[in-house]
Amino acid sequence: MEKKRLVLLCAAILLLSLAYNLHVKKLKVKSANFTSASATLSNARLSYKASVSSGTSGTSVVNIDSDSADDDTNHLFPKDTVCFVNSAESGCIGNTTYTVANIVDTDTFNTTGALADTLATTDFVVATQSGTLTIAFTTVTEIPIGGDILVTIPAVDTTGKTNDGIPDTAASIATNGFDIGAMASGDISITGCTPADWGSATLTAGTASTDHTIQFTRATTACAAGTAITITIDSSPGLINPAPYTSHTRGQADAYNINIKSRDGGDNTLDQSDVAVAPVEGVLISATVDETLSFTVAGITADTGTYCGITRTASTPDTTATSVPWGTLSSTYAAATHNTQQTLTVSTNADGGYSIYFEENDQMGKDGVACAGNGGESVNCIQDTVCDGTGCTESTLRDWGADPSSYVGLGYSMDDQSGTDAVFEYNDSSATFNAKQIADTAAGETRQAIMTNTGPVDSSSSAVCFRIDITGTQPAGYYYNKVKYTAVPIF
Amino acid sequence: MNKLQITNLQNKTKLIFVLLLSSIFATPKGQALLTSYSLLAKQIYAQEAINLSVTPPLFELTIAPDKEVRQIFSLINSGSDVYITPKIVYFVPSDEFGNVEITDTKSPDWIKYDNSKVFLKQDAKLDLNVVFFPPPDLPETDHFLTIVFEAENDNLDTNDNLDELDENKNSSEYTTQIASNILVTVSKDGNPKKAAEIIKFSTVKIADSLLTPVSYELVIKNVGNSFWKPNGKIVTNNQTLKLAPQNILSNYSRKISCIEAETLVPCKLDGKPFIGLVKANLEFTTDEDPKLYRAEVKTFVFPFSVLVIFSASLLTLLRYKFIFKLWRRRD
Repeated sequence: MEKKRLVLLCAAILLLSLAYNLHVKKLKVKSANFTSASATLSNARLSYKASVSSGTSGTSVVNIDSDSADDDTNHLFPKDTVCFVNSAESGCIGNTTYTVANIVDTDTFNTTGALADTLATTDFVVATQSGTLTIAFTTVTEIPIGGDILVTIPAVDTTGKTNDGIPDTAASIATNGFDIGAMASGDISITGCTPADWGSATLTAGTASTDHTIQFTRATTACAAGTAITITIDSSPGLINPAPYTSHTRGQADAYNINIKSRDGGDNTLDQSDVAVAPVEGVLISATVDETLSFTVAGITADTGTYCGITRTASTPDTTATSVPWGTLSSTYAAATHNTQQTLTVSTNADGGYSIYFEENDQMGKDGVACAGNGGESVNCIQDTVCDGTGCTESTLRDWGADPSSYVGLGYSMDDQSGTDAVFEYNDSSATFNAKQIADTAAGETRQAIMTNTGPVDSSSSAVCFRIDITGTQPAGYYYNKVKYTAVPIF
Repeated sequence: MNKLQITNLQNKTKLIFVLLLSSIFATPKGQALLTSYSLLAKQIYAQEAINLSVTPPLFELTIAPDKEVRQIFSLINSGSDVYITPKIVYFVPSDEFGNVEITDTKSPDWIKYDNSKVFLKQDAKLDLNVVFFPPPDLPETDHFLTIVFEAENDNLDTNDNLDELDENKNSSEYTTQIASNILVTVSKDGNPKKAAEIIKFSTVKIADSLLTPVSYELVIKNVGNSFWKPNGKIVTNNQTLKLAPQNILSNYSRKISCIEAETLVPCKLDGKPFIGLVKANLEFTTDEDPKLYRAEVKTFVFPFSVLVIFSASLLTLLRYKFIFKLWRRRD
């Protein structure tokens, strides 16, 4: 009997100790770091917060002073959205935001619209930088039902300022943090294990002594160890990045630690990791591309090539940028000798485009005499051609045909070499040689556009094809005139 | 042999002659003569293109009286050596598309610049500093100006003849100008009066779904004191067309295009609505002014061509059926 009691006692002690050990083992869970833990900000740029020096209602000029960590405009860029807050940081003054038009100097910038209110020297100008935060990690330990994941995001150590939508700044990184603004639990999602078994996020704004927390509780089914989990805070409204802390070094990232931990139902930590995010000032990489209009006039000296349907030969007059020398003219028309060309080339990146105008001071006069009216050989002029029986003018084209002998004089046509900017071409509407007169300013004619485009172009090129013919009774002598090209942007 | 070839042969002959002369007359004067002929020959032979670039092509300025603004207009010569003469003159719009007609009216005295002729070598750049300094009592109006750079070639004028025996050397002499437009608004407070009038906002009343694209023609007039750009859109049932911010000068009209990805495009609907009434609402402001200008047009869209084709097919079918019946009866 005694022996029996002793055995029972030993067995009981053994069982009890086993049970105790198991219980303790259960309690003494070994906590580990998550594997592959990371946190990524979609916008890693520090918010901007500077003290205002002056800004007058109705103007667009804002001056800042050096009382804040952002003590100049170096971290403010054109097209940044800014607003002005008072010292209590109770929202944007007048609920108005402005766009930075340009940075004038290190303490002055302009807004695109005029200020609605006059700013006080205790006001701040803020440019909020926000975005998504993605936290990814792989669990080492199973998360049981009733366990949770807890994410702790640094918040500024000032109650009421951690979620006011205004970027925060403080004396150190340890006391500064992110602002969650108008973020709600619906803006936070989780993937990994069965998402539906996680329950909604519980978002708690930080206070003077606590940081922001995001909690996902495992409602049904455990989440196995080795599971990749991603928690995402979306961009609307997004997590607001802090402004630089007081002693911030420009160009050096401020590293903030985000704590991630998984816990069991008793809030005992299972796995945890600290991951760093490091917002830094943005860098404006800029290049200035000037708006430009370029215009080239070039002569043609080649003895080959076809322009406006006319093939050049060795007999074709060589032109230069400044002259079309016909030489000694025969009254017998020949395509090769009575036609020649210049090329015009235009490039512009101006949005409005350009036009090239063409005019002559007068018709070709012998020894430069004035050619009144229609000119003609009777008044010692080589007139501007009329092209055909109907008559071309400086603004109206007609087909001058293959042989201009019936309608002598000087005229021109156009032939696009690159692009389609010529206002007409020699073969439009199946013509042989569409031609116009050069606008005669002595006769009060309006110079005409010969090339144009309403947008930017790159090396758009056209040939101006000159043709001349005279009769056998044209008085001998030296005939000349002056012609002008003008390249003008479209406003 | 054309004029240029004749000239070159003559030059070569002259050069040899001069070299002989210089060996005999080895004097400073003889050497100077040799140099000038060599240069002359080189100039006549090497006729390069006129190639000029101007920046910026358009300068817009709002300035208060008694204030000063300086702007540099840069001219780059990428062609042959030229003489450049700058001048600033007024322009008037020549049409509703933004083209200009340059006048002979010179710019006012309060626009100062150096208008002397400048020799610009190839690859050289001219920076012309223009100072705008309107006097205190200047009325608040706009000034539309063009700065014109006229290029004269460095070579001899073609009128000059190296061979006085040649006659009938008919020619045209060409000059090249390149210009940049300047739009100046004089305003005491930076808020000149901006006002618009919709001259035309129209489209077809009835359109065929398959054949007729629905496009809009818009002409706006500036009835204020200062130029501005329209800021707005045309909104239809299922598409929004953004108006191009094109300058409209005071007291002038402009035909306004639409803009898509920084490119000017006609104001035209992409899709072809099949059937129904398409309402288009135009709304725009003058720059950032709050006043909203509105207009509305409507187009009735119907697949008329489909109806016509269907009707024609039906008639053809009926006709052949009738003919077939007649033929059978005859049998």
